[in-house]
Amino acid sequence: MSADTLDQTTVEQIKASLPKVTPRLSIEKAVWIWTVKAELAQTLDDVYEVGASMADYGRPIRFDTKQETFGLWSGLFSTATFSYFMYSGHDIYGFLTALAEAYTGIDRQWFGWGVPAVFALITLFWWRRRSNKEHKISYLADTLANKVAMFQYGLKEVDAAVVGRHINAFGELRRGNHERYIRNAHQGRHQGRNWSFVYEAYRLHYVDEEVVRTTGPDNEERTERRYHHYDRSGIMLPFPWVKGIHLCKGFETTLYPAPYTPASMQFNNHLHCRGVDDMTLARLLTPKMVERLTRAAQEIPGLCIEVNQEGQMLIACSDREVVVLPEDTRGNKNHDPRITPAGFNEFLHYRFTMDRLDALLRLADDLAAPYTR
Amino acid sequence: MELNTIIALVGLALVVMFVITTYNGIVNAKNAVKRAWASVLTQERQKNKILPDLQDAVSRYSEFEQSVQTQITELRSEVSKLKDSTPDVERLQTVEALSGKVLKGLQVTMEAYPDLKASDLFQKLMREITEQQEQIGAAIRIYNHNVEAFNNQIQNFPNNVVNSLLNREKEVETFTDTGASEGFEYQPNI
Repeated sequence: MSADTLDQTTVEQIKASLPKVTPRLSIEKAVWIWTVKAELAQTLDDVYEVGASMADYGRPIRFDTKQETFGLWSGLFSTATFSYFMYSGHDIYGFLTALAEAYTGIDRQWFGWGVPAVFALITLFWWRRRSNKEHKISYLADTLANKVAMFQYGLKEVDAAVVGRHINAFGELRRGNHERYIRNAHQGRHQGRNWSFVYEAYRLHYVDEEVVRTTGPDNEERTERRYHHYDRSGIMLPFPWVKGIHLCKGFETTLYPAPYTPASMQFNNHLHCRGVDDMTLARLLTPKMVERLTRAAQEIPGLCIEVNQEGQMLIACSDREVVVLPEDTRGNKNHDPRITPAGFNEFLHYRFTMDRLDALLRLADDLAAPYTR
Repeated sequence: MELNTIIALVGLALVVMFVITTYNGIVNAKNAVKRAWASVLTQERQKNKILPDLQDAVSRYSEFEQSVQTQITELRSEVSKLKDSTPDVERLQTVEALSGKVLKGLQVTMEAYPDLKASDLFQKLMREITEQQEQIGAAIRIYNHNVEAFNNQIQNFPNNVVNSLLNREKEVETFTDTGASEGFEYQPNI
């Protein structure tokens, strides 16, 4: 659920229907209300209100997981003990399986495998239950922090089709021989040193299908289809000065016929260039630009830059998501709502940086420098 | 065929493949150095196209700044002497040192004549020459990177064996800013 994909009246109605969180409210209910409010937040103040409510709750935002932990350890202990008795051929194992066989009529060898399997399933069940509880808190904290970062960057979630409708106009978005689509898109405006532009940050999901032929023990040939799922992300922006270029390594597109190799060996180790004609690339790739792009390719993993025939630019990288806070921003125990909700509330008031997005925006700004000065 | 013969043949094939790859690697690295040098020359000549306009623009004002005029003429002459065929690092050093002097001289002239400083044309030319100088700086850095890669290619073992037997290429000199390094008392013992 996101406030950007619901109409304003629905958002207001949902918000109005949510009860106020008081310290007497159960933690489960409180977390649910905060999560809904976080997802529906439309301004920084909305997020800060949730943070303040968490700080006012008066105790750490942590579920009671004693039951799950007990179940988890009991399951582990039982699995280990029974397995030990089974493999060591202990008398207890013989006695228990004989007893079970006598009562149920099921062959004892089934108990040898069945009982540890049941214990393992019980362990898995309690582990999943505990993880789900933990995940709810992490999800709430991440949603709030990401929302703050988004609002600070002036980003707004938009329909994925905003980028999706260009999917065939870019070689970069034509990845995957089975399936490809834009998972999400956010729109923002960036004021760089050289120019100001509106951009869409997106996440692309694509699937490669691999057909594997194997010969079985019966000499029969089998065809197996394997699907490999990948995610890439990047930004899309208007770039009216150059048309029809593709700078990338490890992914070639047939959209641009002319290859071009600049003089820098270092650059050529990181990026391969193709364009509608080599003059376009020769004009763009001045020594200064080659140096800048070499630095960018070293800094940004899986960097690909493409300007399509309509003058839309795509700067993509191999990160799953660019509109996301780096992991190390959130890992501090002084900002963990499970330990200190007040510390977490303070953390929400920090100025956040989305490093990868910043790197892509800086590059987009520098690429325009020769045309805007 | 005996196992020993097969092993010997496979070994020989691997050695031949290595020699071919290394030989071609050295040729490619040398060509990359030549291309990078050509790029430096292109940028220097681009600068040479701006210089006459700049000279015209300041000629009215710098009647007392004859040294700048002389330096620009000298610079244009030095740039035209840069050879296409082989990297001429010494002359490039002279050109870059002169360029530095010309830019400095132009700044001084500009400060001395307020109406020149206010001139849009002069400002545009100064921006162009500064931008061009930055492009040359980048082209030289790219050239130096390529030279370093080439020198590594011919000096590292076992490439040096292939080079001494087949390619017979010599180490290429990198560009160093002698003017800047003269300012340091410290000189690395390399």
